[in-house]
Amino acid sequence: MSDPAISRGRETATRPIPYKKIATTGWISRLLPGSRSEIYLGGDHLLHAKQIILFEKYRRFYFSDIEAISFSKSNRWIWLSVVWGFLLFCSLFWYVGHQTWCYIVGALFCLVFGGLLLLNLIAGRTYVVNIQTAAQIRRLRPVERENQLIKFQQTVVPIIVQAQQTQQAQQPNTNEAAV
Amino acid sequence: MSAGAFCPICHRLLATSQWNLPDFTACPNCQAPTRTLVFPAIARATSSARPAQRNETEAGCFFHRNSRAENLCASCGRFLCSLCTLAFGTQKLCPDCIYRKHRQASEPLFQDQTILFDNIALLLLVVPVLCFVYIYFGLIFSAFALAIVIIGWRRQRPLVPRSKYRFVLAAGLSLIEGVGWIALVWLVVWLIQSHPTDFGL
Repeated sequence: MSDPAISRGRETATRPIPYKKIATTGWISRLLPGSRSEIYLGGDHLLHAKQIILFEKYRRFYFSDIEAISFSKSNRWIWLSVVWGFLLFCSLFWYVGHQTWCYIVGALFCLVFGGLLLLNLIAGRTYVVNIQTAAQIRRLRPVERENQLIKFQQTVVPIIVQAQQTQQAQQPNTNEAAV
Repeated sequence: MSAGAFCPICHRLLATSQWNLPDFTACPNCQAPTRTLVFPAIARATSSARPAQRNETEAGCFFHRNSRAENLCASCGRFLCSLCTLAFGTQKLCPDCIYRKHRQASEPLFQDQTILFDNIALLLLVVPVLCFVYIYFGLIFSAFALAIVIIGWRRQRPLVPRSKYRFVLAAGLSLIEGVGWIALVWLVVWLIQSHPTDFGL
C-alpha cells in the first residue's frame, strides 16, 4: 500500500470530520423524545443527526448524490397558533377569581402561552421538506420553518450544484451508495 | 436514471414539468403546493450498466476476473470494475471495505449511530425519582449512573460536537442522590430508634 493516493484516502477516513451546524429543531423538541434533529455541513456531505433518547442516528447526504430537495407548504403553523391561542384564552379565566394569587398564576400562564404563540408566528409558516438521493428519501425536520428553509437553500444549493458540476467534469461512471 | 422526484406529502411522483420552477405548483395527486429543486445527479446512470470486458493486456477486477478494472479501492487498493466501485463522496471503495469499515466504530465516515451515555445516566437518575422507586433503590441507581458517567466519559464518541455538561450534571446528581438516599435511610432508622412506639414497635 505504498500508493500515496491510497494512504491519503485512509487518513481522511480515520480523521474526525469537522462539522458545522446549520439547522436544528426548536427548543420544544428537546423536551419531546425522538423529535430532536440537527443538520450539519461536512466537507463533502450533509449530516442529519437525529436523537432518539439514548441514541443518536446519523444519515449522510453526499452533495454529489443529492438528486432533489422537495418542499410542500403545510398547515401545521396554523394549527399550532390555534392551540396556543386557545390555551392563552383559557389562561384568562384565572382572572375570574378575584384573588391576588389568581392574577399572578394567570399572568404566568398568559406569559407562557402568549410567548409560544408569538414565537410560532415569528418563526413563520411551516413546510414539509424532503431530501432525496438514489438510495434514500429523508424528511428534514430542522428546516421546516420558512426562515430556516430559505437559509438552508442559500447555503446548500450552491454547494450541491458546484459538487455535481465538478463530478460531471471529472468522471461520471461510478455506482452510487449511501449510508 | 432515477425514478424521479416525489411529493413530500403524498410520496407520489411529481411531473417533470414541476421540476425547478420558481414558484409553488399543486401536486397532481394531493394538490399540496409543492416546489422541487432537482439536481443533475437525478439523471446519472445507475448500476444497471454492465462493466466493460477486459482484454488480455488489461487488469481485471478483483471480484470479476473478466471485467476491466477501472478504479482502485481507496482503502485496500484492490482493482475494481465499474460494478464493484462504490463511491462515498470523493472516496471509491470496494464492497468488502465498506462492510469492514461499517463494523468498526473508529471510522467516522461509516458511523451511523452512537450511544448517548450522558442521557442514559440522566435517565437513571431522573426516572426513579419520578416513579418513587428512588426510595427503595436510590443508591443502586445512583451507583449505576456514576459508573455510566465514568465509562461513557471516554467511550462516548458522537460525530457532531456535543458538550460534556450532561456528564458533569449526571455525576453531580448521582452524588447528591446517593448521599440523599443514605441520609434518608439514616433518618428513618434514627426516627424508628428514637420513637419506637410511634412505629408500633
